[in-house]
Amino acid sequence: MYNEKIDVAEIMQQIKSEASRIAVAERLKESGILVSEQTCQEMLLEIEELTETIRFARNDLHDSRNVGGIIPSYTRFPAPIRQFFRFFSKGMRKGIQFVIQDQVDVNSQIDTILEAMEKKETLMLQLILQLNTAAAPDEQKTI
Amino acid sequence: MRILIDGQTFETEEFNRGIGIYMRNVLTRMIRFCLAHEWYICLSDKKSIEKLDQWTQNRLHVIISPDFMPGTDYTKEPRFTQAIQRIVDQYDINVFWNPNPLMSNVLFIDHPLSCQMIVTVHDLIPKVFPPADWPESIAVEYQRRLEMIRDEKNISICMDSESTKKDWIRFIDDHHSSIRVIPLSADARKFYYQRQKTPSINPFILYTGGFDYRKNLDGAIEAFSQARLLHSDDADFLKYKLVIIGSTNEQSIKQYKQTVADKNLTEQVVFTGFVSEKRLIELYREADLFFYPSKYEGFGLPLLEAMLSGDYIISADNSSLPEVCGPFATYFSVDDTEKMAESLYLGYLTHRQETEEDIRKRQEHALNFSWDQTAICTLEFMEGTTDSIVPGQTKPRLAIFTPWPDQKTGIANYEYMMIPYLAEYFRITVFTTAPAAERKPLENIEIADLDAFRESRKQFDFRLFQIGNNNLYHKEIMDLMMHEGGIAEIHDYVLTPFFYEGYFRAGETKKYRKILQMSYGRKTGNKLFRDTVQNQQHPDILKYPMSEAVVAISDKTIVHNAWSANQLHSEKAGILPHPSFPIPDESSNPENSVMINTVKEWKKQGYSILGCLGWINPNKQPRVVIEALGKLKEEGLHVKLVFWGENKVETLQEIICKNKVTDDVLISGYLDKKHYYQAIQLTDIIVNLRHPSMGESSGPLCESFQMKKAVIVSDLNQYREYPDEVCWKLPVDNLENEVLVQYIKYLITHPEVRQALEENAGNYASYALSPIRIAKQYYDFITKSR
Repeated sequence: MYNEKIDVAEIMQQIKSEASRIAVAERLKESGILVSEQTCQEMLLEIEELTETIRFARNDLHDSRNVGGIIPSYTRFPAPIRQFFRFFSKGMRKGIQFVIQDQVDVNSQIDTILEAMEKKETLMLQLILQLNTAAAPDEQKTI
Repeated sequence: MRILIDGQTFETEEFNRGIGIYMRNVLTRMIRFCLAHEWYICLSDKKSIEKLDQWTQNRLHVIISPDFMPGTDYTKEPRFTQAIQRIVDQYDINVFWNPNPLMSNVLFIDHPLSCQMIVTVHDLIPKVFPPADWPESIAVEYQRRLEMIRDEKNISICMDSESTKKDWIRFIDDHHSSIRVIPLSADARKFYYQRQKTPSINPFILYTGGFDYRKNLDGAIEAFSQARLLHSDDADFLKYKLVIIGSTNEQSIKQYKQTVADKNLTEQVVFTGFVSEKRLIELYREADLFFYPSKYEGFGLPLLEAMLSGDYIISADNSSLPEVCGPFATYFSVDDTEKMAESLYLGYLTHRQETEEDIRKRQEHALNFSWDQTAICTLEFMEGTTDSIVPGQTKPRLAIFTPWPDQKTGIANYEYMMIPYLAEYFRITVFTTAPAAERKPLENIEIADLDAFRESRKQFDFRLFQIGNNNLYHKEIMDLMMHEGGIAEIHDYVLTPFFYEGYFRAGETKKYRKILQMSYGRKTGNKLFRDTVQNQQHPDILKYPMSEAVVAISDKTIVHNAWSANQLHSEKAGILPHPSFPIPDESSNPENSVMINTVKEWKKQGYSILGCLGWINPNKQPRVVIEALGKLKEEGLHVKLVFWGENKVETLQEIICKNKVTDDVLISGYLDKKHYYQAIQLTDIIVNLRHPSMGESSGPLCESFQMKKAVIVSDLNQYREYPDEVCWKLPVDNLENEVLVQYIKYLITHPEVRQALEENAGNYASYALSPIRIAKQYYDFITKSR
């Protein structure tokens, strides 16, 4: 059914990875940070991992949503959602500024979080911010 | 259909060998070729699933339990069987597929399951070569499995080769009717190599069999030695080394090396040990001759790999090997080493004389074995086991409630196209709101007023209600469904505007409130109702699509993609993909319009044409496409962009000007169907972006596949479900512009890749999206209980 001699799916992945790598490196350069190839790759992996987690968490969120309304406590979330929050916390440590409260409105706040996490731009800018602040002033230009 | 897969092989060493290659290739392809089936896999470790690509992982329901851990403790089999049966019951599984039932290191059911079962028997080696070192427990268990497969009527068997089938008849059973031979394949994308006919500097003969007695490495070394002695006057032949790939224990290697040394061949025989796949591919490509003296094979996968790489094949003539190589090998009997030696030399001479054309023919033969074909045959075999259509039986009567042409809605056209295919399985009456005088006739299909159903309802076995977002066409149909019950087919996942306009704004507020409650429970439903009253606005469509109400009201619900089914999260929801209908013949050669002529002229001048189909809306991301065009022009590419449809974006001209592509963009305006097909034909790359997207079906996308076009889609929701081999996915993030530019640039500068993508799309449309196949899936979904 598919062309046996040319793996178009593999070619697509290669172009996507390469184009993303170059674009991220260029934007980081524009922000005044020189990033090594390795750092750039690690950042992309991190972002990929987070978006994948969101993707899986999303269905579970919809499960909760179907029971209707506001879910009152963190501990009453199903396990995958708690896992998602752990990743969310990880995102926070990287500079994303959201607050997890005991009372969480699943229908509004979660979507805000998801939206922010899914937009790589937000995440990436925050990562840059974190890298900037983590480095000593004289090292700030080279990470 | 719901299919459960025994995943134990993922957690054994076999996953890296032939059986694992088989399982990975067949499973990933079957899932790609049928979006309608639901796939389940049982594993003991959730990480095992990561051995599959991400796309496949997303389409599989993974069920984890320690009961599914592979092993040789067969006392665990009753518990294993109970665990499988529980899943069969819980998920209403139709078929259980065991791709590896005879390997001793996996468990096997100890009694039959309540569903159909398919097992893949790869070979009967222990029957042909009874292993001397098997513990009794394994021998007894092996025999038990064979007898169970033989005796149970709901077990059907796939076999890798006619040879294995003959062995089955010889050793096990001579009258089993449910055997299907489905040959394996090799991954041509990895192994195919366009080889030039040039003399090798360091020529060698390759052996990849392994060290098992059955593989006959002793025979290979002896034959190699004798051939050198017999033809010691041929200096060119003497240059050939024998390269042996594979690893075994140190003691065994030592013995083989001693044998080689005794024959004074230490310099001529090379033991590589284990090699990576990358190195294996290199060695296949560097070798001139491939030597395969195995005494028995269920299917000789390495032979195909070697043929694809361009090697000349010298093979044993037993078991399945002639089935694999056909007339493209020099064969020998493993019983006579001297003849093996002669065949090795004869193969060498033939190889010297063969032309590049001979090599191509051999490669083409190997290319006839395809994993796609293996997967399709396996899938169809599975589907056949649950076939409930009895030839000659009376077709059930189906009432379809739908808008109908000439009503101007996509759903009317969809039904008009689909019903002839459904009529193969049902006696259909269409009930519609379309005025009688304006109904487009359809041969052999009765078309009646919607109201007429109430008088004839008892005649029908099934009712299918078409639900879309236009309350003008669907309100009465929805009302009837609420009253009569039946199966719903949702064409738009978001139905909030439909319910708001059709019920709330029309004054049917009680019904609207009830629909909200059915969707989101009493408490949230009431809250949303109060908000609607207060704001005089419907709820947020992204959070409250309200299609949940249709699921609640209907007996079962058809959606067109897995994304929508996942959002609905209901056992009632089934996925039947949007078919790709054949393009009508009358679409060819319509009178040219000015726009069409302009684009034809551009093509004559050597421009590549990018195209976006249908209404130009903000969610089709015209800005992204125009910006990409600007960058492509800056890089000097000869490319133009055509929006084949009417513009609904006020700022479009502004965006075009800003990107300095005024002379490079055309907006066609409305096109009639004939010109629309011509437009697709003229387009080189179709960019079909959506963001946001809420599960809507894309008819133009299916038509683009059908017309063999390279398509780029947004990597989200329902579009993600199409395999990467069929269309390229653009990430929806702030890198999309850069990636889109690179995709287009690559497709323009690599016509062979674009052509491959076009072929894949066309083949996918013809098979996986075939309305003939999908009509059968409708039949199964409508008639079988869930």
